[in-house]
Parts: sequence; C-alpha cells; structure tokens
Amino acid sequence: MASKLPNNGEKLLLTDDTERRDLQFSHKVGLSTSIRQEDIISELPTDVLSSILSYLTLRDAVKTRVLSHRWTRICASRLSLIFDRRNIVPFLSYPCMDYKHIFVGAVNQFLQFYEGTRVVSFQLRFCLGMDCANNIDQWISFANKMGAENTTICGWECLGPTGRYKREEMYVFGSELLSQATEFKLNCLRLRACKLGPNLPRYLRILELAEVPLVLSEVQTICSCCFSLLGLFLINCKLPFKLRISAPLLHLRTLIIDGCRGFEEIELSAVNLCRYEYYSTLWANHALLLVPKLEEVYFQVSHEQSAHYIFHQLAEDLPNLRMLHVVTIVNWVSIPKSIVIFSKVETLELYFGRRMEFDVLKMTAILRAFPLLQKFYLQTRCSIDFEQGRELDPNDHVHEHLKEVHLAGFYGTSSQIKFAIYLLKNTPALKRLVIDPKEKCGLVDSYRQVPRRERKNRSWNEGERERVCEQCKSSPKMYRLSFNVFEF
Amino acid sequence: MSNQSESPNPTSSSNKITLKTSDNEVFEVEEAVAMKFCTVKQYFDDENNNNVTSGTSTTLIPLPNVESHPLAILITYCKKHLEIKANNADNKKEMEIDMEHYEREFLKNVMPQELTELILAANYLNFKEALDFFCRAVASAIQNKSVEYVRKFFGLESDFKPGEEEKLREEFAWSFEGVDED
Repeated sequence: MASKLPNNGEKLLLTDDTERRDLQFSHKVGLSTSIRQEDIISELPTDVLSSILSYLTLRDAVKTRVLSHRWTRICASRLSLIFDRRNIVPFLSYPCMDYKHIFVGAVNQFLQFYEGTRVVSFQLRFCLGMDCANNIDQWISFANKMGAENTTICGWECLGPTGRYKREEMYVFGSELLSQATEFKLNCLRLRACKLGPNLPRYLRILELAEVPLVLSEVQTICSCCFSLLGLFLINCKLPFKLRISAPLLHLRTLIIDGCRGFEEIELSAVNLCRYEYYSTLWANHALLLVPKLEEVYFQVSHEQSAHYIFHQLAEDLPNLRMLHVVTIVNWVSIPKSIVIFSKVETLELYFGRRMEFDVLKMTAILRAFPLLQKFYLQTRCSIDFEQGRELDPNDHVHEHLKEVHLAGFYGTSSQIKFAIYLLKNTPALKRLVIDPKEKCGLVDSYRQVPRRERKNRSWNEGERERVCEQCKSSPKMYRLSFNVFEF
Repeated sequence: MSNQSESPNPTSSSNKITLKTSDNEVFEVEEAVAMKFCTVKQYFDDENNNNVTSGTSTTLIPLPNVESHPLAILITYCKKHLEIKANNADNKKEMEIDMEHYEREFLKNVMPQELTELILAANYLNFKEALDFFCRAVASAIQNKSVEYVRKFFGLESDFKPGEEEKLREEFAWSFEGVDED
C-alpha cells in the first residue's frame, strides 16, 4: 500500500452543508491518474460500511444499493429515523403536497429494507394529511416497535402559506393507531399541523402541540389520558374559548402557552405545576384554582388588563411565587398606585420591548412590592427620560435582601443614573450591580428567550461609560462598595 | 510541533509503549496515546493479568494488521485529540470547535484511498473517535453524488449482470434525481 503522503494538493474537507461540499473531490475523481483503480472499499468490514451509511441522508444511503452486489446487503441502522424533505426528496420544488406520493413511496421502500433493531427518535416532517393516515400510522407503529421514545409528526413543512391542509384534511394522530392493542412507550410527542384523536399514549411525559386546533373535548383527552405528563407545550394553537387544564392527579410540572388564540379564559388546577409561561397578545382571564406549587411565572403583558391582573391579583392567587418574569412588547402605560405584595418572590425580571411611558424612577414603587427580592433584572429601551428632570420621591425604603441587580439597555439618562444610585444606596446586601448598554437575555431561561436574539447591540459611546461611572461614584455609598460590585 | 513539551500529559508519566507494525516498523508511544487504541489496551491488560511481575519491562505489542503509514497518522491524530481535550477540559463547546477545526485541516492532507487505510487501521485498533471521524469524512465526500462518482471514489466496479442495475435504478428512482454534478 502507499506509504507516502501524496502531495498533489488534493484535499478532503469535512462539511455538513451542501454548498461547500463540491469543492473537494469534484475535480479529482475525473482524473483517473490520481485515483488507484483498485477496490479500496471492499476491504472494509460491513459494520464500518454501515457506519458510513448512517452519516448519509436516507436518500444517499438507499442509492448505494446500486453500487455493487455487496452494497445491496448493507443497511445502516440509525438511532434516529428522520423522514423529511432533506433526507428523502431534496430536489423537489414546493409545495411538497404535490409530491407526497413520491415521498410516501420512498419512505415505504426505505423501511422495507431497513434492518435496524432500535430507534430512539422518529421524526416525520412533510406535508401529509389524512389521506396518508394509513402510511403514517404504519410508520409510527414501526418506530414504536423499535422502541422510539421521541416522536415528532409535522404535517406541514412548506415555506409560506401554500399547500396547507384544511382542518378537516389534517392527519389525526392516534385515531386508528391507539385503538389497537399495542402498547405505546412513547415518552415525548411533538405534533405540528395535525389533529388529536380521541386517545393519546398513556405514558407520555412531554407533549408539544404546535398549530394543532384544540376543542374542549380534546383538551379533556389530554388531561384524562396522559396522567404521567410532566410538560405540556401549546404553541400557536387554536384553543377552546375556555381552556381548562384540570386534573388534580396530573404530574404536570411545566405548562407553556405561546402565541395561541381563540380563548378568553384559562383555568388551571394542577397540584404539581411549578412553572407556567404565557405569551400572547391576547389576554385571557386566569383562574389559578389549584396550583399550590407554582413558583415560576412568565407573563407577556400586552394591555392594561394583563398588567392589572399581575399587580393586583397574581400575588393573591399564587402566594408561593418565587420567580416572576414579565415581558411587554407594547408601550407600558403606567404603574398602579398600589401593588399587592409578592411576599415570597426572590427573582424579578422585567423586559420592556418598547418605550415605557413612565419614568424609570417609578420603578421603585414596584420594587417595594417585593420585600424578599434577591435578584432584579430590568431591561428598558429609553434613550430619553419620560419625565425630564424628575426627582426621586422621597423614600428611605431599604431593600434588605437584594443581592444582584442587572440594568440592561442602559442609556445613562439622568433618571436612569438616579435609579442606579438609589439602588446602590438602598441595598445593603448588594453584591453585584451590572450596568449594560446592551439588551440581552435575562438570568433565567424562559421558553421564549426574550429577546430571542441579541439585537444590533448598542455599546457605550466614547466617554459615556466613564461619565456614568463617575456619576454613580458620586454617591457616597459607592466608596463603601468593593469595586467588583460594579460591572459595566 | 511543540505538542509534547507544551502540554505535559498528566496520565502519561513518561510510560512508553512500543508498537510493531506489519511492515516491521517500531513506534514508541506514550501510554495515554496507546490506551486510546482499545485493541492495544486490551492486549496490555491481558499481558498484565497473565504476568503481574512484568509491570516494568517494556512490552512490544505486535500489530500484524496495521501498516506503519496509517499508524503514524493515527498517532498524530490521537496526540492532537488528547491535547485538545486537555486544553479544554472544562469547556466542551470550545473543545468541539477546536476539534472540528483540526479535523478540517487534517483532511486537507488526506487522499481518498488513504482514508480507507486509516479506517481499516482505526477499526483494527478499535480507536472509536477516529473511526467515527473517518466514516463521517467518507460520508460527506459521497453525499449527493452520482453512483458513478461514488464507484470511482471507492475504486469499485459494478458486478451486476446486464439489466440488474437498471432494474434497481428504476426501483429506487426517487433517490437518483437531482444529484450534484460530478
């Protein structure tokens, strides 16, 4: 065998993306002189060949069957079976719906020869509706037999609004499938642009529904079938007028409702619920009936109603609340005169995605409603003060427990600096104050990392940082604080 | 380069292991490197179990199925692998980035047929990380290519009877559409 490195400058590159891949061998194989015409691959043992195949798309793996007799018998086993456009029919144009017969045929052919013995996750992403239900059901039960714990079914994968199925044409998950005797060990189920059938797998721990229309009875199905459910995610779904998540035995720990519509009331009773996230431009009346363990709440505030609920009702509804995260993308108008005390909240995060129409100094009123607060994160986006020249209301309130403060989106306006000085003066336990001109993600991970991406980030203008630093230090308290408390 | 001097490997403690290839070349490698080759490790463990007193004597491990050329490359790869791992012990993401960068550079100096030799050697030595990496490299080289291209790449000849291949191609027609230009 060759024992010297050839130096004809030919190169191999390891890439994942299709664009760059052409660079490598494209010129090389044509030059027969640079490739030895002996069968180098046949020396490799079969399990290595199938390992190579497992890194190919399904389509390329199938194609190797035509290489030679030996290759027709090689089959890659895969821990995740992913049937999507890229893996099967990347050359097709949109809408995918027009090519579903090719896709379905291809998947069936692949499975016919598939010899793997174990599948961990199964994903189907293609515009397939109820007309393909038989095939989809077969694939799902195949994956189930292989022990798939995670299953994702996406009934719509096109770009743009083309080729969407009407509600009555959508694939219904589990209508036939679950009436059969087979046991489903499914752990995590994600459905997009499908509908729910009358049954759901019993041992589900995570259920994520995106663009799934839900009526009252289907929500009841979820509550009654999935008694081991830990997490329920409803994303962009059309929900019933009154969303009632109620099953006192539910193990449900996390509930996330994001971008849903069609509902005006939410009623929650889930004894183990710890975390609730609600993002919607529509407000729903919340009835938090039996949620004794709910400690973390993320709210998107869109109008006066929701702000009113948070500052007047929430603290009473959730006496055990420890973490409150509020994000608003509208102009927040006012801070109520009286706020019900949040007696146990330790972490407060406030995001103002737009200008707030009150002065940042009024924030002190909010802080007073959180007597045990330890961490405070505030993001604003105000380059000028709402009320120029405003002075702090005389107040000697001491925030005894506050240890960490982040002020993001800080422009160094007069009010902002006064607010920072106020914090330095009135927080004897403060260990860390971060002042940052950037807008960025907060302290805790929320489902919807707000803002999702860091914006075109502002940084300090020349001299601005020094100016802010000087002004803050003019506060006598600053001298007593160790320098690392203060971060820019 | 200055790999050895700059990153003293705590596990090596200057213990050397000698490997002898099929073409009778002898490689002296650090224990940490040799232990990445599971076949060598197994051999070493067996030896130690059989003869407890021979702990200090240098054992010569014969590798009848590995030639010196791929072994030399594998040793370099392995050293670098360990070095990157040691440098980013506390940051997995950084480690992956460094590794990816190194692997990309590495492949620039490797020919397709060498890749097969390397896979064979890595497979025999049971050096899992390298084997995975080379398999990925082969896969990425033949991804979305025509059958003819892949045959040439592997140096394969079709052994189908006339008509057989056409039949297969017809059967799997969907997988032949829209391949990249050779």
